Amino acid sequence: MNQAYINATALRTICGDTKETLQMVFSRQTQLQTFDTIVPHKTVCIGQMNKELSFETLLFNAVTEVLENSNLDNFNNTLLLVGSSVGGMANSEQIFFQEKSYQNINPQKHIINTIAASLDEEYHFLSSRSYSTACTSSSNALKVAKELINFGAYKNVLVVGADEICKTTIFGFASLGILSDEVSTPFQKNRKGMNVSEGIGVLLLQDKANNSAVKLVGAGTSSDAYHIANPEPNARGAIKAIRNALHDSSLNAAQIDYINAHGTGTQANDSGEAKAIENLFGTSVFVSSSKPNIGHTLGASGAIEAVLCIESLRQQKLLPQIRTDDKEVELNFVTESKIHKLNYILSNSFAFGGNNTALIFGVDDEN
Amino acid sequence: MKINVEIIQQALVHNPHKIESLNEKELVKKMMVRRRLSRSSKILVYLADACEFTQGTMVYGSAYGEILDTTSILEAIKDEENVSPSAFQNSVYNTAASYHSIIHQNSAEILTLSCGDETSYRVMQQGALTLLKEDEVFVSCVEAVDFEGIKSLNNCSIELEYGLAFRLKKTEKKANVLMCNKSQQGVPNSLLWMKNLYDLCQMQENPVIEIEL
Repeated sequence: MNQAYINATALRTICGDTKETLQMVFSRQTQLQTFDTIVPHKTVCIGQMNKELSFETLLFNAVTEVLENSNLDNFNNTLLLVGSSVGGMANSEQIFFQEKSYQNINPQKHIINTIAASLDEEYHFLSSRSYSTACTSSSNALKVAKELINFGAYKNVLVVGADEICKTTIFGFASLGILSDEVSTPFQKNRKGMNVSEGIGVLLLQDKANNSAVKLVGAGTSSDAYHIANPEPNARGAIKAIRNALHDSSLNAAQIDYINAHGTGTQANDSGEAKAIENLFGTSVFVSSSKPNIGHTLGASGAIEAVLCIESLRQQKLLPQIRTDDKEVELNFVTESKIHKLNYILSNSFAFGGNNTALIFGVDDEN
Repeated sequence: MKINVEIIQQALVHNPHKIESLNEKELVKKMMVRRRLSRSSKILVYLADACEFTQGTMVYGSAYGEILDTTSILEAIKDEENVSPSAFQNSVYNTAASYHSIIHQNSAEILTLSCGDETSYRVMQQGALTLLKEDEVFVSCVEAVDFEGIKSLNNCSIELEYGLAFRLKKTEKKANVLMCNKSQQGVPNSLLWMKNLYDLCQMQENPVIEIEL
């Protein structure tokens, strides 16, 4: 069975490009901002990318960055897998709120597939598929990429996680009462909710390693089969997904050095995820959430946080969490970025519908 | 890389507008759950029952997703009314498959694809990939687009509720179904590949098809 190596990565987030995002995340900074003019009678803290460039241009820039850092001349022999929860919703909203009518909305620019279609037009991929399982979309795309490479079906797979912020998601999460009015504080006692955001993560997976390759060694999924939006309180689904990922990687829990948590900052997510972590790993494993830095980028979050984990392994440096001074649970939160021997990192993603995905990234000891 | 897939069971349901009977009272006993189901969810639950599927991996596809809930959110924002939390919860593309998992307590993997006009073929490819690890998989595609405002967008006169499903298993048998790309009146493009497969399966005992991963 072939190994799935991640050979090139790129980010575009509210913190900036790849380099700027990594610098901010490792130094516990954020670009989340508070607004009181978006949702009536409500202050919300959300993430918006610098819109000097369009979302599509930022997407192309990130994909081009990966191409330039790869051993490929083009993507003609590369399968494209996109993960997104809203697709072209922002474009549809712009037309609808201006014209108060659906008439001039192009359905092909509205659907999830619009991202893959525009990328295909620009780069001419071998083929493409788009996954949409809410906040696990790009994690699931990564899992599929791994399997296709493991089975030898493809040599090169580009995974793109991309979600653009829109009123539907801002107002939607506000209606659920889970949007925070300040930077989120995952796993902390007085946490007030999440920060909806936007971003792009791009990863090239190949069946051969380059010098800086990190392996996607394990992937596991499950369904809560409990509630359409609330996670199962005893975290049975999350535990099953993580166990499946451990089984897939032939690792045991003690071999995981650090967990990049889903860590949204909502009461329900964090209490369930903490139970899952404690149940499987105890309280000594390093844990942090990157969402206070970049916000919750929904369907893109799996890919973006995968890039952060990969960089953590490349630099052998732990990803810190912005605030950990009021913790509700006795987990070993990373309070500052520090050099640490890292072989394997677990990244969790959980979504509406009780859709759970766990990914394990690793470097060989000799790397 | 190609694998051969045997179609064990199949189901089809469609209507130019709202499908009248999806047997939801019988299929979804809990009233609270039944009341929350989206149209796509009701169609999927009906199709899964017709294929006798309750447990195991599911691959679901929809090009347009939960458009009824999405448009209700847009209308609420436009009219400066409160967004319905239920509409938002139901607006994600994996809603239908997730409700099925809740109804049947199925904790296996669910993947949802949305690949425009190629959705139903991509769902079948994903199903075939699953069969490299599992004995069986359930694949289904649904479009439910009967919302206020569809008239201005439905230039092709597609039927507004349409669903197809197949239960698949891996086989060593030779393929006996050769796909053809036939256009069909009223079938959404996103489901056309599966509708053509459904028609061919009606004419073949123990249908087997070769799928390129």
